[in-house]
Amino acid sequence: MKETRCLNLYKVNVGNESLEKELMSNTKPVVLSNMPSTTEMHYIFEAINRSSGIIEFDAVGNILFANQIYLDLLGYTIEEIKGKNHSVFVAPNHFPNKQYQEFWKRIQNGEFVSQEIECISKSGKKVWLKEIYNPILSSDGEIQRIIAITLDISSFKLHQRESVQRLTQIEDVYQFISDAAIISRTDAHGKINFINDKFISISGYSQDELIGQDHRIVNSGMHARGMWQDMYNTVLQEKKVWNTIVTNRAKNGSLYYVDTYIKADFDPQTGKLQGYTSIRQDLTSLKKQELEFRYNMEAINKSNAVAEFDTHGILISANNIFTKLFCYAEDEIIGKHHQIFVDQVYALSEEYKEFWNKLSQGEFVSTEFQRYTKDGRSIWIQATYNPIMSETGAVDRILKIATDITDRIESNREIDRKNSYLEHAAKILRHDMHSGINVYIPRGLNSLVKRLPPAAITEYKIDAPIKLIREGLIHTQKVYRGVYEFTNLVKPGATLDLIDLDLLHILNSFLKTTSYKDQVKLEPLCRVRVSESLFCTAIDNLIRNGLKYNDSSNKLVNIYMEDEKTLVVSDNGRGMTQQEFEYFSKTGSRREGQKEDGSGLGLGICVAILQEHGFQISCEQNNGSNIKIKLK
Amino acid sequence: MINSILLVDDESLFHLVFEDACSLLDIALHLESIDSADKAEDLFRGWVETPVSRPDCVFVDLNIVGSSFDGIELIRKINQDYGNGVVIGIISSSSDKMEQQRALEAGAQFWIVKTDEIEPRLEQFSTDFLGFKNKTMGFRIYN
Repeated sequence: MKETRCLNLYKVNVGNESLEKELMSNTKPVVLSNMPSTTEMHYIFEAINRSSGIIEFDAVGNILFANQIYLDLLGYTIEEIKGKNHSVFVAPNHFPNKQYQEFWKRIQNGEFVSQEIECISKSGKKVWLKEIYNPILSSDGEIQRIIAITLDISSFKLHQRESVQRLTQIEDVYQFISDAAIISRTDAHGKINFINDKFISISGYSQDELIGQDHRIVNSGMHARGMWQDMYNTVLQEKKVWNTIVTNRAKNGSLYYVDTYIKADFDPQTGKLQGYTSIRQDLTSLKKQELEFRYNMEAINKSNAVAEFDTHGILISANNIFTKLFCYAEDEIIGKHHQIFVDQVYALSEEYKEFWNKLSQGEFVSTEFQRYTKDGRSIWIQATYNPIMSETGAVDRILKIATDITDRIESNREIDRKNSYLEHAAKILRHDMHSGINVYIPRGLNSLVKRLPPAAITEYKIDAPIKLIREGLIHTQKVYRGVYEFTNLVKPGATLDLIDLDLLHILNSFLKTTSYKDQVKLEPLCRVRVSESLFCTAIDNLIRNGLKYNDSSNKLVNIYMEDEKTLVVSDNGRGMTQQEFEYFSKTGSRREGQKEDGSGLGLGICVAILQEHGFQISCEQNNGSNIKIKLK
Repeated sequence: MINSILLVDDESLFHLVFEDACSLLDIALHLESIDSADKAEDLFRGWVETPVSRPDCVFVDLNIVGSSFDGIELIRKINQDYGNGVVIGIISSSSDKMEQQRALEAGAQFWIVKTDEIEPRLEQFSTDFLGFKNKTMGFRIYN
């Protein structure tokens, strides 16, 4: 049987927010001056009872009664909850700390309390209730019971939560876009009224310099007027978002590239244009890479033979240099296989097949190749075959970049041929001349002298010729030794046989048979590890140069130590600067208008010998030349 | 007795050195010269065909340029096929121990190292060999 109770009601309409607020602001029960009649009370009660959940507690919060709406909200029967405390409905942690006790204390103090409470139904479902607690006082002012009128606000709460979440998401997205993109807004006349930090950063202008300025402040002038007309048509007429890559100019004059989206903003009520919003992505780095790549390719294309082949070796494209190099017209080779450029035997070989297999599998090939022109002429190219990948990672085509090195190869062959002559000459010198100079002539001379008694030498006056032959032979042997050491250097990986020697002694010995020995002043010198014959040959070359290219009436060369590691060959000749010295050290170089003979080979070889020793050689002009040799 | 010497060496000038050295040492012997590979090849044939002109002593260069055999092989051939008590050995600028061992095994009785000063070695050789003409001296190396 449905329990009907006569409630000590007040005129409370929980649907009326203003009244509710008024009631809530008054913490004491309202005493109405015009109390309704019992019949009116009954109807009021029934109206509330039908529309709201009602629950009645004793003064400490134990449940006395709940109407069916309340019971349905939480899924209990009255028997299940009667006598239990209100706290059984409250979701754990809904009231942090001691707030629940404080909440009840306020009610017990006679306050009207309106509270949104998250409750747990019998089935465990969360239910949000808005409860208005009305303490009922006895005539002596004591709380008799507490009636709470309850509304289910679960759907409202859910909606509220979703709204908050959506708002948070929108804020997150906006922050993300603002962090990631360059954003600006203008009014309808194009005057900037908003820019984000990234706009400031990329443009180089300050916020104050930008706000209020025409957006064209960053216009680079690189785009045709038609492009901006297209933008206005798109955003104003078609009312669509316009997108393209725009080149802008920063405050410092540099260009930056942005992928730009622009939309027009219209008043939703009136449709009137309010301004423009644009969002951009900075592509400057990518664009610069692209430009650099393009410029590089243009440079390569201008100076190299460039062609593209498919993975089977069929020519797709070729530049002018390529066609000219191979003496074909472009239409003669497009669509033809690469094999027209190679030797026909090689074209049929497994090696050639493997070459294209490697390329089609993405291997990069770079080396010197022999190729053939249309008229069968052999040419040499330095070529790189670069497999170009498609977006899927498969080899799409082969880019060939080649340089004609025929001249260099032929020149190298010529050098090799000449070197082979030199090597042969060296071999003859090392073996055949050796025995003549170092064995047979000295032996013959010694044997002759042994057989001639001193009296006979005197009688026939042959002491002078014998001496001449002997001294000449010694000199020739020294020169031979120097040349012999040179021929050693021809051998790959050759190193000098260095011996620790007294430079003064070996130079004295070397110079004593020369005609210019009196023009060379040797001061005390150090000991150092040298190849005697080569070192003496090199120094002798410097001495001869110092005496030869010398206009002085008293031609002199002085050899001394500047410090313990620096040997100086000083002359009083025409002199040379370091720059001139470096120039004349190159094989074949001569001073302009030079009257003396000479191939220009000497100084270069002299420098080479000293460098082979690991010495550094330099020159300074000082009333002649000071050739300085930094010894190791 | 050794009365005649044959020098087999492709370096023709050395023949003059050898002759000069012998002259200085007063080694008065009949000297025969073979200074080419062709003549060395002919040596084999002539050895059999004209036994009367065989020398008593043969000096063989280790390397005979252009020949199909080296000096050691020549010694082996002379000793094995045509030997009859001839004194035979190597004269070479090399003093390679392995080659010297090969020469010994081929029947060489001496190894003279060819240097600028050949006289002291030839002098020692003449003391050891000339006038004896036998093969019992053992293998002598003159460094």
